[in-house]
Amino acid sequence: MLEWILSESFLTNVIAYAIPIIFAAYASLISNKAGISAINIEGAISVAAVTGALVSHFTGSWVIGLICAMSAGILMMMLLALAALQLRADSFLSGIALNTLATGACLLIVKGVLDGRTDSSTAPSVPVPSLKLPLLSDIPVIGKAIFSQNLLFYLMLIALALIVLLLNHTRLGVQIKTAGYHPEAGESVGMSTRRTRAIALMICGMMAGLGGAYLSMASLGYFSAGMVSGRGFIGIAAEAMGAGMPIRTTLFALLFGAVDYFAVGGQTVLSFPYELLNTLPYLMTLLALTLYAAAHNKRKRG
Amino acid sequence: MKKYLRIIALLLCVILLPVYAMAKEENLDDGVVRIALLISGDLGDMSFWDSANAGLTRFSEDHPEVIVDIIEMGSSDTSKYESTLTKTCNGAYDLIIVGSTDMREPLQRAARKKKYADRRFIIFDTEIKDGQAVDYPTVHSIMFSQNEGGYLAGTLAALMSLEKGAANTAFIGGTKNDIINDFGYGFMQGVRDANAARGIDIGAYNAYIGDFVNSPKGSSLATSFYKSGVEVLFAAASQAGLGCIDSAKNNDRLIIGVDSDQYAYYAETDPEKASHIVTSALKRVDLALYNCCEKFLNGTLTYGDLEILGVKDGMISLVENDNYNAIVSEETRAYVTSVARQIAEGTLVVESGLKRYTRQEALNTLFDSLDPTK
Repeated sequence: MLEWILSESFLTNVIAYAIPIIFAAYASLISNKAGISAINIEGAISVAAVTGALVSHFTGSWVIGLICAMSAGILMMMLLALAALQLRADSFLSGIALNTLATGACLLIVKGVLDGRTDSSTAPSVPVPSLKLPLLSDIPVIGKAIFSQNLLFYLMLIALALIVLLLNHTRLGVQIKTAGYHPEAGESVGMSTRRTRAIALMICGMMAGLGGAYLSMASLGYFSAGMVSGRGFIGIAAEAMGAGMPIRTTLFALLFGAVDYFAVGGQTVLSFPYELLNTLPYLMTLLALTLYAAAHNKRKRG
Repeated sequence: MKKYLRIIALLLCVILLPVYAMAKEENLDDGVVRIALLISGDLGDMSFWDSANAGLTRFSEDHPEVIVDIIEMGSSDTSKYESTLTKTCNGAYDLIIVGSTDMREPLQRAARKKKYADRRFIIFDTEIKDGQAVDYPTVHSIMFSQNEGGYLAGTLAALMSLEKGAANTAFIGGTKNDIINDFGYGFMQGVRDANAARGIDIGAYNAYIGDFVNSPKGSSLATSFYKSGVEVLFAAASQAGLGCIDSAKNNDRLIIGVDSDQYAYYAETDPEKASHIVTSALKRVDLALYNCCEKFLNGTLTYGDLEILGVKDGMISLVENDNYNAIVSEETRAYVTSVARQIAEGTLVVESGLKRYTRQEALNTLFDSLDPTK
């Protein structure tokens, strides 16, 4: 078992499993920093996935598919902005409503476009290519896992760098953090909290869009209803455990990816009962959130 | 005052009308035959439900005088199933067809009601109550011997693995439910018997996706089997199983489909993907329902009984299309055909994996004896 966990294929698979979770976690991170919880990341990923798959199929270009997937993610977040910021509805409740809307909308879109189908497997998407970096990909163990990945993996690394840069070194980053920590302080110097939060939600939607595109244009060659299966929520949990810190969030999302892959590999490579393995990601989330809450309370008291 | 009266009258109408409509079941003696099919899932699964839909659609084309309504209830909200069934029973339907274990209890309750005594029902892919079909004199139950389909798939998978030089094959199921166990148990028996007949030692992995919709997981399960040297595998997992087919295409390996001819679905839109589907273990839900509707029209359909359909009835078989003939060697094809003939003649009996016939321990013993990870 240890041999399997330390193998190259294990690392490659863990990263592949973690990518959509990491994007969801980044989406959650940006919105939480701005002081608005975007519970509809799950739904935004789903809508982005269906958009990316169909657009790339009909235009024959993964670039256009990717851009449209991001736009679809942004659109879903703008709906949240409309409800929660413009109309001042509760962001949590609006998020739940938008998730329900997304489930129905995805089915409606696929059925409308593909004449009564619930998945787009007869209209295969144009996949986002993988990039193999010369020389670096020859390094043993990590070479293939890190330097011979899907393009979206590198986009994820770039997103991480940009998020760190944005939050710590730009005016917008300070505004976003102010909107989250102390909106009144920002308002007192003339900053519009609503506008800042809307911008944060746009970035959040973009991240969710990339996560969706990864699912339907890289991980699988088509969209099917139910393909997101909780990855958006798991991303939110990873962000909560990362306590809003980008690198820590990434590591927690990777851990979730590892547990998720363990549930698959544990059946195929080792021999564990699948009922037990399938509960692992959820058990892990519960355990991690409990530990997080305990640590958080201790920090508060201390 | 007048205004209020009006509003109250209107409200009463609004409240009472549906109550009245719900309580009043429509009369059947109008000379028109009406048949309803309730889909307790989503159409577009390219297997089970699409097959049922195809059967009824063909029947309504051949019998334009019969009104056929197909009602799709979706898979997301199972709480709708019973109320939809009640509503359908209240409509003027002479025959109501439902399928899968999800509909068992709702139908048990509906069929017991006196006011629906003149309605006739068909439930397929399960028995209305295990071993007690006779207690429901208006219900005809249909079950399929999917273990025989699994057996043929297992035989083929073992022989093809031998041809391709692979040490193992694999079975991927949706969840460990009765029907999937039946497929899996049949598959493992097929592998075991092919091993014994040829003096070979092909192993068979088994894995479960955990539901029938998580297609990325289906894809990665299949990928990890293919990466560990499997050349051909069998997936019985509805929509999630389509993810396995995606993986077969990406890894350039082979897969055996399930329920409907999955090669035919992809042949036009994605010929490359289709070419990786050796064959499919057919379960002719369409044909079974079509025949039942015919019998219903003739008045020869029987009730309060269970009909089990298998290879001998032509309801379970492997698809023998051009792709199958191109990929599989003549010798293997001949062997699989002879096995199918033995099953049809009754000289070869495939044990059922349904829990009322075989205990879970017996299933596990066979699965484990072939599992290379054990």
